[in-house]
Amino acid sequence: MLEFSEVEKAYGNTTVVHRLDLKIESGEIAVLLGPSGCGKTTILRMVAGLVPPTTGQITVDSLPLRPDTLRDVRRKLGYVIQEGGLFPHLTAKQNVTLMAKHDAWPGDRVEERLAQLVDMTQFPAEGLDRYPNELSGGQRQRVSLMRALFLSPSILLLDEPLGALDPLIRAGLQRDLKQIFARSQATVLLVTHDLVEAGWFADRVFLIEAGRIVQQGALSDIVKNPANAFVEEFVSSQVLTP
Amino acid sequence: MKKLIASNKPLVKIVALTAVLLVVGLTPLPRESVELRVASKKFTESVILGDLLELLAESRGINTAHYAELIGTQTVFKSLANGQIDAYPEYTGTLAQEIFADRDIPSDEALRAELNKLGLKMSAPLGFNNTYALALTRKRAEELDVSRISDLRRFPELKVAVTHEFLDRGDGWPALVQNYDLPQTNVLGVDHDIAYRQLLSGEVDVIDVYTTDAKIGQSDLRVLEDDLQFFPRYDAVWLYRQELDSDYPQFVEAMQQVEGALSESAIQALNAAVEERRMTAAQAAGDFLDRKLGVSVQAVSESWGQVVARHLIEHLNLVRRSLIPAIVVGIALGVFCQRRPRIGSGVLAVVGLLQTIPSLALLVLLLPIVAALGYQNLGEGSVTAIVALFCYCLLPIVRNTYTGIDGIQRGTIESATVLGLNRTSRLLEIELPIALPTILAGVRTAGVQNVGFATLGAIIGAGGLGQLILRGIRINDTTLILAGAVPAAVLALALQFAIDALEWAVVPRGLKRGRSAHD
Ligand SMILES: Nc1ncnc2c1ncn2[C@@H]1O[C@H](COP(=O)(O)OP(=O)(O)OP(=O)(O)O)[C@@H](O)[C@H]1O
Ligand SMILES: [Mg+2]
Repeated sequence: MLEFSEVEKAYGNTTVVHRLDLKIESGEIAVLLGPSGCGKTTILRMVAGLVPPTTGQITVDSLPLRPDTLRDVRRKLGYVIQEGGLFPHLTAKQNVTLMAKHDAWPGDRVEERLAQLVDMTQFPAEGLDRYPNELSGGQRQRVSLMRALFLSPSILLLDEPLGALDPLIRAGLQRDLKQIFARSQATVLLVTHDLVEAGWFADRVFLIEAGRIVQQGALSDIVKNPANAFVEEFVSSQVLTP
Repeated sequence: MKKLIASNKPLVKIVALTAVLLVVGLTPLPRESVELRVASKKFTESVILGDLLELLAESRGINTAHYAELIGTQTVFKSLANGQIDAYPEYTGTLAQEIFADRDIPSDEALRAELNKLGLKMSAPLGFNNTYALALTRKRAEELDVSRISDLRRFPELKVAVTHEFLDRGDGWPALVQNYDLPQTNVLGVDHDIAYRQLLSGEVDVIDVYTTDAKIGQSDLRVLEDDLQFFPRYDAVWLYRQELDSDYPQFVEAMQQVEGALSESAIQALNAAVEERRMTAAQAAGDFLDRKLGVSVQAVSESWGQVVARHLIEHLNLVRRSLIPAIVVGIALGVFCQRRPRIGSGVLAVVGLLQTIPSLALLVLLLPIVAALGYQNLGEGSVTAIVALFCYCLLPIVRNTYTGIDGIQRGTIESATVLGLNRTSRLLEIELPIALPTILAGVRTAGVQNVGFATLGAIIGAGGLGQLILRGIRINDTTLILAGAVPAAVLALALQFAIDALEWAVVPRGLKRGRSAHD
């Protein structure tokens, strides 16, 4: 479960996230949708503790996010970003198992979990000993996913995880990702600016305009009944009408 | 417990590596136990006299080191005054004009009194006066019948060539002209060697010389008598520390044997033996002791290979003791600068500034500081040389560590953070390893520069391949210069190669250039 209460974020005099009140239930797949610069990444980064909210409170699995709880909150998180953020000096396997090694997992347990994830993400096993620069973009995102999932986080944060991929690979990964979400049972907060992608994943879509949620619900409802002119334009711009 | 060790493994590793590096970098080589230290300045005559001192001491069974070819009168004198060395050859005129320039020193007795206040003693004159003089070829002097400087008054048309220094000095040519009322107007300032050549070819008639120049005897010149006693006396003497009287009376006695025994023609011959006949200064000094004083000492004779090897080891030692600590400190400073950009930019500026100080100036500036801290200034293992080299190494390492870490993509760092790595783990396991190729490039630059700079250590007696280069320059011997320069170049290449090999071994494939993702 992930809860925002009266969360605001301002850089200097510019408020980029306005009074965010939002509750995402355990196991729910929530998608933040909106145009570039509307504040999607900022919301995710606040949950990850990378930037502090200016005011308000974020709660992760009933644990309030504060400097002293940051470590514990992060243990519950998996974080995947557009370019993967993989460690270039480590092989795919080393990237994925880094934290388990830190936690001194026994070797066989590490191998077991790795095998599960390789299967779950459809990652080619022969790629495990390759370095990130020896993998394709899609493979890199699968590694990034495995790394985020390794310690079984209860919340998965994904910032345009498919943003840098070409359409074909993207479609394949979209399919796999949906299964991964189902199997991992994590609460998912995913950022995208692609309407179709949002609809494909989301239990609930949150449409954001300039730091405010302007409409939420199933994508079909949003498309059918746009709440205002911005939503209407955003929707129509992504549905090609000849 | 197991968990604790596992999560701290990189920390344990890095602490161990740092400790090993510091031990390897800071441990001085065991030094030959030396009882007595003598020194000389960087001109042939001084080196011969220094070797003479060393041989005299060795002949009395005292284990002695000679720090040859040190830079600057002030440096050598101060080293004697603060006890870094025990004795060296000096000239009375130099003491009166340079060391005690601010005091009035009317006589050798006054000089002795000043030295006494510093705990130093001065021997009786060794027998020759190395001062400025004017000279003509013997043939021309006989034609004109001149033997004293005053005689020049009769020949206003004579062409004069003097060294630039002599022409410019207040107590040089202008004062001489005034004192003797000389009429010559055709005077040019030239290089010393060129003046000799012009004199011999007849282009000029009169030049200035040092009275002990090896060339005087060889070129058959007549040195004009300073009949008005215009030039100050530069009598060669031994300077030594008072305590030698009680600690090494046999050495003081040996020094006294030389007093009065070294005439101008004798020292000219010794200078000629080294500069023209390629004897080593030690051989020339040994010959003199044997023939004139009946003291027989064996000057150590080394093969070329041994000489180069010895200096190479000294050189490596300088590089080791400056580069390795600079790697440890440089990386630490680089990390600090990246973490605290505001103070960091100041630190970077200071480190950058250090590198702009001319090397000679840095060495000389460091001398009193190092001496005041009670560390060894001169000779092999000189802390001054090591500190100076260390300062020069810092910039490339600090800068590359800084840029190496600062250039890591934000997403990579943030992924590590959200994964739950703490600051230390992030630094040791993510940031430093990713920055490693850049850091190693900095170390390579620093190392190659260091090997070159280390040749300068010789001017403060730190030894190394620079000693061969200095000696080669002093006696104009290209072979000797190459014997120092070529191994130094090879050493720089070898170091570069070693660091390349290290990079190849420790940098993972994922960070190597020339590979790109095939997506
Ligand atoms: N460190 C910062 N300082 C100042 N302004 C910032 C900072 N980070 C983000 N912003 C601003 O906050 C706003 C929201 O940025 P954010 O990255 O959250 O947008 P986004 O919705 O993720 O956009 P995109 O789809 O392009 O990734 C933008 O106007 C951005 O310029
Ligand atoms: Mg974004």
